[in-house]
Amino acid sequence: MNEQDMLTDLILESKEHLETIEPDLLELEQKGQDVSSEIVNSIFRAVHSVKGGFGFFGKTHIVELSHAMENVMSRVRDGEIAVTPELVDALLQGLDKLRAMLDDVEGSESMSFDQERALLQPFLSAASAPETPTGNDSDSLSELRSRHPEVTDDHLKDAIKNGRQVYQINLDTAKELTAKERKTADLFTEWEKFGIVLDTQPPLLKQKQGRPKRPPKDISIVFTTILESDLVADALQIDSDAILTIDLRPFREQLRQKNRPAENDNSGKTDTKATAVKKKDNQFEDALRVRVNLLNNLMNFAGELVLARNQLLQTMTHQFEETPKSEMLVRTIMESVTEFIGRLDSSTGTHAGNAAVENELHSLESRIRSLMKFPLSEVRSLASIVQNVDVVTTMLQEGIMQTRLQPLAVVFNKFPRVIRDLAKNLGKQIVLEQVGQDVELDKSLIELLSDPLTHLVRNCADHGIEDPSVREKAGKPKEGHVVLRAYQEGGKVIIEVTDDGAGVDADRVRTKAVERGIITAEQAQTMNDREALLLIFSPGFSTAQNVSDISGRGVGMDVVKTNIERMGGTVEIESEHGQGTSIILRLPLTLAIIPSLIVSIADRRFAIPQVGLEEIVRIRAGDVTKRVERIGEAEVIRLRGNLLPLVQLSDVLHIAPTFIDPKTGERRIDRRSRWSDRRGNPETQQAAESVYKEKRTGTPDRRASLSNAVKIAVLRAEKNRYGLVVDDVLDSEEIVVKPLPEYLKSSSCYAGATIMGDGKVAMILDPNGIASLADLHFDEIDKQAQKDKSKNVTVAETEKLLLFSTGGTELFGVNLGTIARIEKRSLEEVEMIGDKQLVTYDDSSLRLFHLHRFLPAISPSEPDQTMYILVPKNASRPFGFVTSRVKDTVETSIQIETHSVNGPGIRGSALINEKMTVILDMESLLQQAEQAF
Amino acid sequence: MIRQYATFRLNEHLYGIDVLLVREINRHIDLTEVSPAPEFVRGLVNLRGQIVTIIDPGVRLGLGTRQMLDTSCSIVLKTRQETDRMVKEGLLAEHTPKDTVGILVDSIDDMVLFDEQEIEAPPPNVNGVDGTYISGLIKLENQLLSLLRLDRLLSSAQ
Repeated sequence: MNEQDMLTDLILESKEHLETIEPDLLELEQKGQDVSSEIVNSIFRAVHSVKGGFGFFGKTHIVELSHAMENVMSRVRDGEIAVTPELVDALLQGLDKLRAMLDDVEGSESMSFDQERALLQPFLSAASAPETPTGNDSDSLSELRSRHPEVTDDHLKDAIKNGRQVYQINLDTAKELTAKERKTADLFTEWEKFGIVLDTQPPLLKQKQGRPKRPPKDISIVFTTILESDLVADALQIDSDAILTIDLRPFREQLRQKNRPAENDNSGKTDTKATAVKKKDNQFEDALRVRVNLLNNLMNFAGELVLARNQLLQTMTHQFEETPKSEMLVRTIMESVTEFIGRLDSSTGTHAGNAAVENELHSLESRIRSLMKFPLSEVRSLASIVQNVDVVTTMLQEGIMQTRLQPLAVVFNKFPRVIRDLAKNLGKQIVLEQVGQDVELDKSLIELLSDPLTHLVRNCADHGIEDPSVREKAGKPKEGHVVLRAYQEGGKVIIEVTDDGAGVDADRVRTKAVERGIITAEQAQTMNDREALLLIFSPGFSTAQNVSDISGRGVGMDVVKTNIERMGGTVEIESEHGQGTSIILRLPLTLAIIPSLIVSIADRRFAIPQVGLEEIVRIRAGDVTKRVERIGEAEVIRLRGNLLPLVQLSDVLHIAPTFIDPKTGERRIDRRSRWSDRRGNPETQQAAESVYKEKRTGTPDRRASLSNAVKIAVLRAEKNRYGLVVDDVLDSEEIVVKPLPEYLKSSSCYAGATIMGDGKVAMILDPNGIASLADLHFDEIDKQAQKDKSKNVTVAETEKLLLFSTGGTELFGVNLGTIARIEKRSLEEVEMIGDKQLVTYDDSSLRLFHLHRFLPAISPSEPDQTMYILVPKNASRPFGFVTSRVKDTVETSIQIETHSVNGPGIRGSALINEKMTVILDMESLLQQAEQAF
Repeated sequence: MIRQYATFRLNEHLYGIDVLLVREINRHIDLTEVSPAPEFVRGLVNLRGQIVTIIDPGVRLGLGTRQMLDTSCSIVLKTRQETDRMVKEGLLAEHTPKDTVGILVDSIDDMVLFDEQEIEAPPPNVNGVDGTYISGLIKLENQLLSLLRLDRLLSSAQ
């Protein structure tokens, strides 16, 4: 291990020490004199280790600052000074500076810490004066002390504690400097690599300018290092005769005598100290520091092992099928040979010529017998080995994944300080509660989480919690509460940041959003409160009355949202005006693995991260010309009243699109030009139409025509949405994200690459990159949409409806776009808790609601053996609506009639396939269900 | 100094690179093509969980794109991290790219040993190949071995 590695390790270790100090200091402040001696000692020890470590590397600023802090702590420990808020403040400031120094160790020597030192000064003892040498001191020590009064007891104690030797060096300047053309300054720099120059006579250390023209003839130097006497001369490159080892034993003895009575006085205290030390040591024993790089490699290998294992399992299964067959075959051959031998024997008797043939046949028989020995039992024992490999591989992979997990405490630990400082600055009283610090997340996620979470916590203290007087007036306790809660739920980590402050006023949000031009006044009116609250995540939004240095510059919540979404997570907000606010973050366990949808063009597969994906739209081949329109350069479709620009993935990637030939079932290159072009050119249109017609009428095979439907992935790129046209939508898969190779950095349509289950590489698409590559004219489309509106053009808008019944006679329809999933369940799977019906769904429970509960006008549903549960999109709580049968999905333009059937949760009725259908209003049902939850 | 070269063929011509640059040679190339991408990037392969960019040296040399043959191989190079030390110690004359890169060749030939002294400076055009990508020539019995300048040939700048 070289010096740089040692320094890196030391920095890491010291940072860990500093992390332990902060909570201890805060406890010290809270409990004052009553704080346990364990806390005081722990702070003392931590600062001390930092000091000791960096002394070796000659980082004097770090050493001096930590030394000052250590001295203050030692006086606290000895009861010489009282614990005051000022004292804790001084120590905290010192801690912050130490952290800054550790972040830039190289630059620490040029960092000033005068301010911190000045703060600590009042608490420091009036310079520990060197004690008068006593007769007990050996000659070498007393001589040292008389010649170097600057060397204090603390210096010596320090040396003893850190196992360092103290040397007095008589430097013959003529011999060591002039002759070797060295300067004292250079010499000391060199020496400081091995230890600390404590003092020189005449004093040369503090002298920064005006070096004496002639160095004195002899310099006496006190040097302390961990090196033993036989190595010092070599290391310092001076004559060993000039080095005098100082015998510290008398001093040590003296110390021991002095401390003994004190220890006796406080025997209880000492005991706790001892146990505390023991506890700490054990902690270090069962933890190892490992480079993240190494873990990443291990994770790669584990992934590769999983692939190999999968192939092994496949081969094994194949063997299991094949072995009995070959066994049977061998048996049959054997039987015919035996039969043949028998026939030969009976028919020919003992002719000489046949004896040879017979011998041949016998040897053949024994060879076949030996063949029969290997079969199925061998394969079986091999199978059990493979099974072992299988289990171990899985465990190995899981284990390695876990090594990257870190407890949330790493982030949470800084918040007590953040809240304390904020509360102090703002004159508020805030109590922070933290739950679930031990919940673990991937290291890379923890790092990314730190900033957004800090922002949220600051927001709570700054905007959320009111001033004590305001709180009292509102009948709340003076003390505000901020709660940070983390827990795991269904493969996700949920972090809630809750305060019992003023809450967010949805009306004020609306007004602000209109003022800032984020939404129009019209939109503001139609928006419900939940939607309005989400506006605080829009760029350029801030409701703070005053811009403070803490938060309220209008960049904040949108950054939080972007960051969390970048990690593959989501952000939600719940707030009740006057009661408080909750921000809920849902995060995946690891960053490296993200859910994604696999799509394909020709035979190439691509992954679309689920975060950027809104929905999949299929347009039947025959409807393409009807539904695709053209605005300017762009092709668009109308989706639930909005214009959605289309991008052909094949165009962006310069890949020829394909379709499945309905006659041969093969993929063929699709030579169609743009769909919308066909309209202008009757010939191409006819040709294209005929392709589709052939597909529809020529082949009755529904699958062929289904696979030729146009598949559109609706993606979100910043504020806009667009549809990405792909050949096929394959599957959803959890993928491991690998960075894009350097050579492909210019291909902005990709976000990275991944390795699929079959070992092939697939590219990960970047929705934003594709949007900019495709040069989508969102503004033109917006203009067109405005025009549509102003002209009041009634567009024959089609809507996709899910038709179902609830067991009664009514037929219901609901917009398919509002449904996230349909779950089929049997009646036995429903569990009752109180009067609540629940089913398990994705490892968590899903509350069931019957529609007649919210729609009194309809007949109550009969319990059915199987039920279909509609899980709505955008629900903040897990619930679903019970239906007894899903009839169909239709895509039609409907005329909704609102006279005959109406009420909350109902849009009206419509005639669909000549049947009266009740069209439900999912938005309103959602709200009702959430209130009833 | 004696150097060892790994030699291979592109369009029948013999080329070589310093063997110290080579991590491994792979016959099985299950390529995922990527477009849009620079022409000399043939695609990506999975090498034990690591993604390797496959580069076709023929494109920059002016030999056109490689056909996939039965004898085709990819020569996977060490990364810059791995070669850095060797460059510092003077064992290697050039850096390799930061990413793991494989060069696609038509077939692998022998390992050869040569003294640096035997290397001749390249003319501006060797066998119709752009001389800027050739660091030197070695005359063999009946053919010419061109040593490639990988740092230029593999530069990600276009």
